[in-house]
Amino acid sequence: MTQKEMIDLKEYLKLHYKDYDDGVFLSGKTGYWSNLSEKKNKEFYKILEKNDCKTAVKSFMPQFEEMIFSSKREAALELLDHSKQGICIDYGSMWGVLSVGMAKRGHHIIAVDQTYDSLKFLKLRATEESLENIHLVNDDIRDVNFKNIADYALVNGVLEWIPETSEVVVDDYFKKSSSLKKEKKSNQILKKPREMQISFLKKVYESLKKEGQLLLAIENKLHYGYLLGQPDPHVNLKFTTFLPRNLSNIISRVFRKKDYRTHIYSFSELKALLREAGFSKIDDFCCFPMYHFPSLIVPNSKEGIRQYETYENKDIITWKQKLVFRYFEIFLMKYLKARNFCPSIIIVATK
Amino acid sequence: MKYIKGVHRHGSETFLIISKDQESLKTKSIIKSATTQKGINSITSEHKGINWYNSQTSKKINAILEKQTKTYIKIRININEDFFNINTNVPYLKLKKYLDLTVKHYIEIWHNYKNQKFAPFHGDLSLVGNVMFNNKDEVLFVDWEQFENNLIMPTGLDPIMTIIENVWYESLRSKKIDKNVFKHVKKLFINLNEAGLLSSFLEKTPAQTALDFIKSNLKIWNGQSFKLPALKIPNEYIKEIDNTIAN
Ligand SMILES: Nc1ncnc2c1ncn2[C@@H]1O[C@H](COP(=O)(O)OP(=O)(O)OP(=O)(O)O)[C@@H](O)[C@H]1O
Ligand SMILES: C[S@@+](CC[C@H](N)C(=O)[O-])C[C@H]1O[C@@H](n2cnc3c(N)ncnc32)[C@H](O)[C@@H]1O
Ligand SMILES: [Mg+2]
Repeated sequence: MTQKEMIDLKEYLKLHYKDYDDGVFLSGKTGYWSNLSEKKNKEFYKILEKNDCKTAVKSFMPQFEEMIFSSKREAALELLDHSKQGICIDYGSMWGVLSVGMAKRGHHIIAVDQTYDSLKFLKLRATEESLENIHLVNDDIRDVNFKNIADYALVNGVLEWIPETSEVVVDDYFKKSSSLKKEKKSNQILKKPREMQISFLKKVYESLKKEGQLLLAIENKLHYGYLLGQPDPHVNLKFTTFLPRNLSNIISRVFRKKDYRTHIYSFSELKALLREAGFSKIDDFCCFPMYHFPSLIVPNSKEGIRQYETYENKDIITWKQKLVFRYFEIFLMKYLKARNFCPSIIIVATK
Repeated sequence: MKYIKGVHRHGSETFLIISKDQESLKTKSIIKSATTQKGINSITSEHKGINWYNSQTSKKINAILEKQTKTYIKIRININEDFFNINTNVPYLKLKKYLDLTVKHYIEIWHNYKNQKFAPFHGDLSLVGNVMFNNKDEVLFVDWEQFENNLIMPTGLDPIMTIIENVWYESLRSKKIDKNVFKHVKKLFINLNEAGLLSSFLEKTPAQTALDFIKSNLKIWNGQSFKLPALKIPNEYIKEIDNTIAN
């Protein structure tokens, strides 16, 4: 992409967003989803004023260092074709590990997130690493209006959060009481989760150029771990991922005092969703051990799962984990080839 | 079919992608890519190593640097068909033939460094994956990520590391290592020496000296040196190798 195209992209964003503050385009619509509370984020920015991003993260929240910086998280980007430079929209970019990954691969990025604090961090990081090709937009991704401009769209760990309209501070969100959360649109009757997800995916589809590629990553609702009682990572409740939605809803109301809205899907359900949104060419992949830190990504096909092999997983420490997550998984994937029960789904869909 | 086989394996910072023929499902090429400085360095070394190897041999590896910028690198290595990895999970004496072939190939490739103290260095000439064979008993050295071309490592160090690695594996398999193993080890050293490819540094106590060189040049392995068998083998075996050779 030439200097001119880069300027054009900025001009394009200026047309869409009148306000621009400190490197971030503002829509006026904000929300809050973060691993840090607003108070913690403030403290974090104090540290960032005096330190570079890596040092600040290391000292303030070392538990997130890998999540923010590890290039391991970029693995799925290698499923995309990077032979030409293009424009990439990272929907729900958060701290931006994938925006950075795409920028390093030479593309021009529009990182959109509702959480201003996360974007501010990404702005600092991009400047530090001289990645001039990342543009930041603070907006609600359910309402954006990009048309035919993107060669790539990323939806990494985001689709499941689309129906959630309350604020999320991850640790608080997992706790029993829901009093901590401010229901943003509580008096408004919300559309069904699936409908909201489809209308979001339609927007994503519209934002892509012809031949543009969507990379989507999400947990598999039939992940064998969930079937064995590992809690749903979005609500921290057992079995809700795969039980009939109305049952999960009851469980969530009892234990979380709120509706179950973070819907995730099986392979076939997710592909149906994407088709409804307009995508016709859909390639699906099984991802191990989880899409957050992938080690192995194989096509969801007979031949694909034949490539399954054991991989390094430093999170497996205890004997029990070994039994469940190593041996059981090997048994399921290598011998039974039960690929529909793999932990995470990765999709590459082409417009 | 394309799939991602490895992400930062054994401490590397590279992605390993496999591309297979849609119909035959034969592997067509392996792709390595990286976006971190460490990963970019590994792949740059690999590219240099393959180019050097190609300049010394007729059996060329076809590698294409598909992308190289300050922040991203991607190399595609087209598979040399019919070459295979051997199963190294067998007693040393069953691997004799392959060790002989490995040393022979080393002698062919490194012939320009006869009687030189230092030579280019592959850095990971392991029978587990990085030395390949075909049915005609031809040999292919792959995986040049640790290639070091600055002539800082002694000539012959690569096959010595291969030998040490296999003695170590043997020690894990049986408490008492068969005398014939050491006899064979000695023969390999003699072959190297006769070919003029055993650096004068390595004439006395070659195994111990090899270890010392490795330990003082760990940076070559870019943080991956922890996987080197030479650093794991108990000292008694190093001594035993050196004793056998001295006598
Ligand atoms: N030119 C080639 N021809 C045939 N096979 C090859 C070639 N290059 C690599 N391979 C095969 O691909 C495998 C992986 O390549 P390589 O060793 O370079 O990568 P790696 O990341 O170090 O993987 P590993 O950890 O398995 O050694 C090798 O073990 C070998 O089987
Ligand atoms: C689980 S995080 C995923 C972050 C990132 N994609 C990654 O892979 O690291 C979800 C992100 O999506 C953002 N998000 C969720 N719903 C959103 C919405 N409606 N509008 C804008 N951003 C949203 C949140 O703010 C949060 O940063
Ligand atoms: Mg190798």
